[in-house]
Amino acid sequence: MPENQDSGLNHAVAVADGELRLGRTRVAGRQGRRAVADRDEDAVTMAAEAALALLRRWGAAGRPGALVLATTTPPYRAGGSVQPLAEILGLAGDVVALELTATAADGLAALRVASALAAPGRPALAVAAHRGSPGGEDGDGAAALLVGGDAEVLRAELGPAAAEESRERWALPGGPDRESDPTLTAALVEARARAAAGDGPAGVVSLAGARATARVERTLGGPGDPVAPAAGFLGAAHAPARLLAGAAEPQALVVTANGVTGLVRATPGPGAGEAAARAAAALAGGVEAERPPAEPPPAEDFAPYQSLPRAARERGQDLRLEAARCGGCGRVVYPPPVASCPSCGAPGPHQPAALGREGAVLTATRDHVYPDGAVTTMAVVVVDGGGRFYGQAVPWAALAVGDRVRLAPRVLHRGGDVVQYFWKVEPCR
Amino acid sequence: MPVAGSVAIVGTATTRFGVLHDRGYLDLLAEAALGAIADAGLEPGEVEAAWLGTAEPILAGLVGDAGTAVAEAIGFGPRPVTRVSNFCCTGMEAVRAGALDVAAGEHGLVLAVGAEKMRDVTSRGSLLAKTANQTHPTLAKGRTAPGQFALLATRYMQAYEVGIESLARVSVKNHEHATRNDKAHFRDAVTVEQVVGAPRVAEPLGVLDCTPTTDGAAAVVLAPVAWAERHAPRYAVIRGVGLAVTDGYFATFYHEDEDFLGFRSTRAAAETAYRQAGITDPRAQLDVVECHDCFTITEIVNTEDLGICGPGEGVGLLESGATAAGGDTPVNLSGGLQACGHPVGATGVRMIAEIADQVTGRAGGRQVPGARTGLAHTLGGPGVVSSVAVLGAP
Repeated sequence: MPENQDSGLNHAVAVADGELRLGRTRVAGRQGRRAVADRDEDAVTMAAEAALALLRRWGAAGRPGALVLATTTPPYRAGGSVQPLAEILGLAGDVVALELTATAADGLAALRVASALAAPGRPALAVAAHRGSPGGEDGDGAAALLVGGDAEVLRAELGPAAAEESRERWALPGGPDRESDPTLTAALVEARARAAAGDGPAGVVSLAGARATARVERTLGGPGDPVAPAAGFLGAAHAPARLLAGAAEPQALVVTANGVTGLVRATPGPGAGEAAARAAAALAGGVEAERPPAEPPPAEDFAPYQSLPRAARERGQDLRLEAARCGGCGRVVYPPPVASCPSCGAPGPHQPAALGREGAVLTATRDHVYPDGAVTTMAVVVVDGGGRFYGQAVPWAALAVGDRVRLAPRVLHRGGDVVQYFWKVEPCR
Repeated sequence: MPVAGSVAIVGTATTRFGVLHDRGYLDLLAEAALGAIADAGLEPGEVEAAWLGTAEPILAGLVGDAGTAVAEAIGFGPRPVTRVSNFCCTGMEAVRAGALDVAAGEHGLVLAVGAEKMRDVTSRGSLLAKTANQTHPTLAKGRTAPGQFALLATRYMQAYEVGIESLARVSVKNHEHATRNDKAHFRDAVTVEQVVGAPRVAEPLGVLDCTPTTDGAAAVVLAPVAWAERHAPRYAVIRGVGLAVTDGYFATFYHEDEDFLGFRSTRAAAETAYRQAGITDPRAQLDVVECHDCFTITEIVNTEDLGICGPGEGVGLLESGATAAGGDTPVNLSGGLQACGHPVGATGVRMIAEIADQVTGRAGGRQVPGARTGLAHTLGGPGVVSSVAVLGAP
């Protein structure tokens, strides 16, 4: 790369933990398989699923002071995607939140930014997610990395980065994910990758397409990409996903997309083997299918009510699932009582409580008439720790009375320029 | 004074129920109101006040959104008219409000009329669109009326090891009943195989487990029993009336007190009505019952909640034939919501008219010989609103 575009910035990043989550369905891709998410998933919900797994594992010690979302497929093109992510993760109101939506190289940029924002005792969370367009060839998935503290999983050295104007950057609204001349792109990628990698062997993450990218990686002596053949190209999440999948060995990656190029070298930490094994399990998992899940459009007259003042007033009970513990009978009540307990009538005060995220199905139905495009499964859940949940299940759920389930963040509906996220019932695996 | 024992039903009328493209909301309202007044042997000018039950005026271009509809339809001005609304108990609420009016002594002859025009829009554009578009954006989102009652069906079938054929027998029974009701929306009998084989709406419920979407109106004239004794050609007495509202529209699904095997609201409303009417053994004392069979499962749990049988015994009661025409406690001889139809605001008034006709020996081909005591029951919203009225011969 030209000398004058070298940023000269080098960052050492301690990654304490990481989690890779992929779309559930696996279909044949151009090379191997690709992971496809459900129709009610997007970059925010997949980022949330990956991050929630980390936060559950770490508890209070993992509570981040900063949240960086990287995705080239944000649900809100004009910004505003990281806020619902913060709500779903229970971080809203107490977190520095940023979103990076420039290029697929932003997965590394998120790591760089998170490292700069991490403080002693207050890690930062970098989450990269990708939701390819329906009918596209990309994979769907997210990788979350907890940055700061001890380098339990890996220590990354983020090397020089560069940005230059490139024809491959044009992604038109409503058009394909990206527009490129494959020949030109591959040549650009090769030139950049050689320059960035110097003489050492390196893996390559690029927009050039799986075949061309793999060829460049071979010329650089890289180990081969375990992610693309198993899940497809994961956009901004691809580089973090490769870091996790390859965590057990020293690795170097050249990441180049839309004229932005970066280099990362990583060395394993004590938890690297475990993290790599989890990533490998995610890559090997999924449910094989002939074709991606159907994405039927909702009925034409489907226009769910939205109110921003309502959303602000009730933000606690919406994505945060804030409940109350009755001051009289001690029951957990969700949504929190307006005043009196619905069970014992105690007028309060009631104590704040969190609705649990797992439970068992009390009853359910597959509703064929709710006009959201397809059959809608609705379920009542007896939540562990008290309280009930009633709502939609994920599209593939087949629920029976007594089934163990968990609550998962999903898109409830879209309309009125708002993506309404909420929790849905998902069978425990 | 209390309503029970002091208020009489002195006139009744019900329009044809169905998809009535040739009749507007006001036409239906007028036919029922004027019909009931004439049935009472009165002139419209003699009626002192009116209560209107319409649940969803938004479906008919906001016609019927206030008492003004009665003034417009039958030239009732300048007398007092108030519209009431309480989900599917709306019609019974019009009757209860009118009865309270009479019992209070404020007015003597009072009209209670329920009317609903649901098919000026498509059935998909009616309550379903409202549910999908106008309800809370997160809580219970995805709930529909059939989906909500299907939750009971799933739970009930699992808890009591019941198959869908048992649910289907409610539909078969009530459709058979409707063959003798020339006002009913559907007048054709159906078989268990047809009900079970019909397209699913909200599993396990299919199309023939569900009430249709119906236009219609019904009216009754209320008067003090003392007036009825002197002036009415015939009349029924309100022996007891109970209304119970147990929880919120969305919140109830989240509350641990709900077992999804029945409705607390019905049990509470029945307790009130039975106490007033002196009903201690409903199956022995009730000669005829109209209850809210919006879905097949609903009638089964209603018979339990109303104490006609014990918990878990609703299917056994149904399959014994006790609730069919000729049984000891016939339920929904009109065809019920299943076959007679369910114009929401009209339904409760229609049931009151039906039971009043039964205990006054005027139910025609549906008459239960010697019927003296009957019950009407509606269940509203997500089952959190319930009305129960016991009517008796003088």
